[in-house]
Amino acid sequence: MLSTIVRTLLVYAAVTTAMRLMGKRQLGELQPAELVTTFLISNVASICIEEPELPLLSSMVPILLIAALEILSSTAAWYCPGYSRLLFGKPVTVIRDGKVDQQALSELRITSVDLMEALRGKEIFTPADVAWGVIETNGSLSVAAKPTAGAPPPMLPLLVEGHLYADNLAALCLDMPWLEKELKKQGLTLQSTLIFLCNGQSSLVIRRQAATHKVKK
Amino acid sequence: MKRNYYALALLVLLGITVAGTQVYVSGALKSFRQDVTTAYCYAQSGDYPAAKTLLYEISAKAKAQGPWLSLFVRRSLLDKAGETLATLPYYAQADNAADLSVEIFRAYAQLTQIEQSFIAVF
Repeated sequence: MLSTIVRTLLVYAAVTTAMRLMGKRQLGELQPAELVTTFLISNVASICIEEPELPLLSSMVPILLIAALEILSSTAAWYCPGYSRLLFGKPVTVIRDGKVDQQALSELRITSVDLMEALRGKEIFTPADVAWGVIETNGSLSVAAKPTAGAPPPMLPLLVEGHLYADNLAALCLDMPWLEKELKKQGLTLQSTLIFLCNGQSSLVIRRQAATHKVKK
Repeated sequence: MKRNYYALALLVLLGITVAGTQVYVSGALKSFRQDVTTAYCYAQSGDYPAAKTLLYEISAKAKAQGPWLSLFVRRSLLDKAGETLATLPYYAQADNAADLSVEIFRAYAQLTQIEQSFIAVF
């Protein structure tokens, strides 16, 4: 019994340390990889508590190892968009200007029932009200509703960290030369741009900045 | 990106811990094997009192190191080996030579199993 108490305390400390190390990204579970990490850590921790026969090291090492690998993997994804796309995938457009892309739905194995349920969760009751609907890499549906009379159209991403949203570019009847020209006007290139949003009437550009260390006061 | 340094430090610490525990476990098992072999040699040469004394010491050492080894090795394997080592002194008699041999080699096999359970890749 005493060993169960000691193991529980040690595992609790290890899991708390691991979650604290992994930070807000892990708690937010932005990507499926984080969900997998959470499941793995919780299962390993519970097995350690339930099975006193198992050595403590065979639970503590995996918990901390998974946490360390998750941190390094997310850092690699931050530096390398290609790795990020490999690990997390990319968002898929399923609704464009009120029209449902059935081919995209079938590739995602999402039924129209699932889609309508997700839309109702956003308080949208018909795909016709959606200017752009996308299934994100974490499986959730994000929608940009069609603007009401007089309101500007929603801003669509055209370029995000080197990833070009070619379908959004085409939907706005724009092309790469136009994009490069717009960036050049602001003294930017594709590589130096963090985010480029456009709705056909106006655009928003955020320049990529190098990460800087905070100066402690 | 401070967390990267923490992650790398953690990986290094885990590596050192695993390497260190491997050294400890291998060392402890090697010591047990050597002591058991020495006791067996005493028994083979007819010096059963010396063999019995050494086997008692081995059993006491196994009992003392058991709690520490159980941090790194499955308890069931340690228990099995512990039982075998605890009964060895009682076989250290002239009219139990055959049984002693069997139990000694059982002890070797169990110590090998413990080592394999720790260093196995899969």
